[in-house]
Amino acid sequence: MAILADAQAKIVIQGITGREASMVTRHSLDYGTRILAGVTPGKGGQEIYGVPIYDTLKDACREHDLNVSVVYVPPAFAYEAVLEAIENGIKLIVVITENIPQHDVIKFLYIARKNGVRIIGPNCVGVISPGYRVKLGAIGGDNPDRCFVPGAVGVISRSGGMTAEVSWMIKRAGFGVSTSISIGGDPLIGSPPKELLELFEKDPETKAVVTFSEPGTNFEEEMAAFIKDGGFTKPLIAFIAGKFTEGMPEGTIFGHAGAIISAGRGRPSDKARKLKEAGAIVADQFDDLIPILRDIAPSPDKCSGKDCK
Amino acid sequence: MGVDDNALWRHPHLSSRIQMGMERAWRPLTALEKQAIEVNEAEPYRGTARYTEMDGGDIGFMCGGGGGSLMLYDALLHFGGRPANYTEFGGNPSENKVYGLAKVILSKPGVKGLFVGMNITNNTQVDLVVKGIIRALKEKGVNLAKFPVVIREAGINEAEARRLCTEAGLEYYGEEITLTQAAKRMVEKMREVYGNY
Repeated sequence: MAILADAQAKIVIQGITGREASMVTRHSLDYGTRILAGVTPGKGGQEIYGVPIYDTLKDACREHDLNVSVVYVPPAFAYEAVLEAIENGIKLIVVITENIPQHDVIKFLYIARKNGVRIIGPNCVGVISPGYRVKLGAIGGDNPDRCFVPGAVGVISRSGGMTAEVSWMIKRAGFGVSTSISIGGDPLIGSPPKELLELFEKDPETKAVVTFSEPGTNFEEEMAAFIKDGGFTKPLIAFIAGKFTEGMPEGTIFGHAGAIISAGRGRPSDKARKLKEAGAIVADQFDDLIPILRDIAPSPDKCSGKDCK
Repeated sequence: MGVDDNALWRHPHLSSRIQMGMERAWRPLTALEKQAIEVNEAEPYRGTARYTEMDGGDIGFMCGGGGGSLMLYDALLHFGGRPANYTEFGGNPSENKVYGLAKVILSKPGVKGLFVGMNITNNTQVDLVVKGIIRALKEKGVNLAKFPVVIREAGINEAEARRLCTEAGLEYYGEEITLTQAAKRMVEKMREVYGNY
C-alpha cells in the first residue's frame, strides 16, 4: 500500500529536459522508479535516459496510461502545465516548481479540487515510498536509501530538507517509513497535513505518523480537530520548529514563504497546545523523536505489510 | 501595498518601486541585509541565501534550509547560545553565493563564532558549501584557535567536504551526529573558548 506513490503510479514528468528535471529523472530511474514519459514542447520524438519525450501531455497520454505527473516547468508556465494535467485526467500532480505567482496557485488549486485531482506542493521536493522504490521528485537525491528505508511510519513535512532528516531520525531509531511527503513551504498548498492523515489512517502499512511543522497557517489546528473527531486514530508525533519566531515582530517571514505569524495566528506554542490536547505526542526537542518512537513502536511482529521490518 | 515578488515579471512598471526582501524584516533593511540580498540576486536561479540581522548575539548563524534553520535556531537558544542573525540557505547554491553569505554573517560586529548546519541535503553539494565558508574565513583572517566554528553538513559530496574541513582545521560532522547534537556542540565550544559563556 503506502500512500500516493505506490506500485500503481504511472508517471510522467512535465518539463523533463530541464537541468533539475533531467537529473531527477536519472536518479529516479536508478532508484527503480518507472517513468513512462516526459513532456517538453518542441522536443517530442526524442528520448532522455530511455524515457520518450512528447510535445504535449495530450500526446503522451495517447501513447501511455498515465496517472501521476511531476511538474518541473518554470514558474511562469506552471499554471498551464497543471491545467493540462488536470484536463488529461491525471489524478495526482506533484508540483515541484518554486516561486509560482500566488494568484496562479489559487486558480489551479481550485480547479484541481473541483475535478477531484490531488495536488502535492507547490514548492516541495516530492513524495517517496521506499517499500516500492517509487519516488516522485528530487526527494532523496542520488541516494534515497541513506534516509528512506521501508517501514511503518508515515512522514509529513512542511520542509523538503527536513523530510529527509525526519526520515533519517526514524531510521536511526531503528524503524523505517511507509511514505514520506514534502508538502511544500508556500502559504497555499494542495494537500494540507490533515488530508494526508486521512490517507495514512486508511493505509494498513502505516502504524504511526511523524509531522514536521513550522510557524504560520492553521494546519496543526486542523490536524488536532481531526484527531478529536476520531478521523485519525494512530499515534501522531509532532515536532514544531521556529519557536523563537514568537518573540519577533509579527508579519515577518522566517524561512519558507508560508512561515509567518500574523494577526495572532500561526504561533508554534498554540499549535503544540492544540495537538497535545487532542492526544498527539509533541516532541520538544528534535532529538526527542527517537526515544518517543521507540516508546510507542509496535513490536515488529505486529507489522503486516511485506516491507515492514 | 504588498506585491507578490513572484508575479513582479507581470508588472515590470512596479519593479523600481519595490524593495525586495521587505517581507523578511520588521524594520528598514540594514546594510548587511541589503548586502545579502545583492549576494542572492547576483545568481537568482542558483540556490537561495537569506539573512536577517538580530539584535545582539555573538554566534554567526549559517543554517539551512527553511525548516532546518528554524529548528537549529531554536536548538541553539535551548542550549544557551546567542545567535547574532538568522539565515536560511540551500537549493544547491554556488560556492560564490555561500562565500558571499558567509562574509555577510562574519561581518556583523560582535560575532565571535560560526555555526553551520543543514539537514541531510537532497540536492545541495556540501563540498561547495564548505569551500565558500573556508574562503570567507580565510579572507576575514579568522584565527580558528580563538574563534569557534562547528559545521554539520551531510549529503551530496560529503566525503570531499569532510576532507576540505579537516585540511582547513575545521570541526566537521556529517551524519555521525544529529542536528540537535551539533547545536549543543556549538554552544559547548563557545564555552571552551570563552570560559563563562
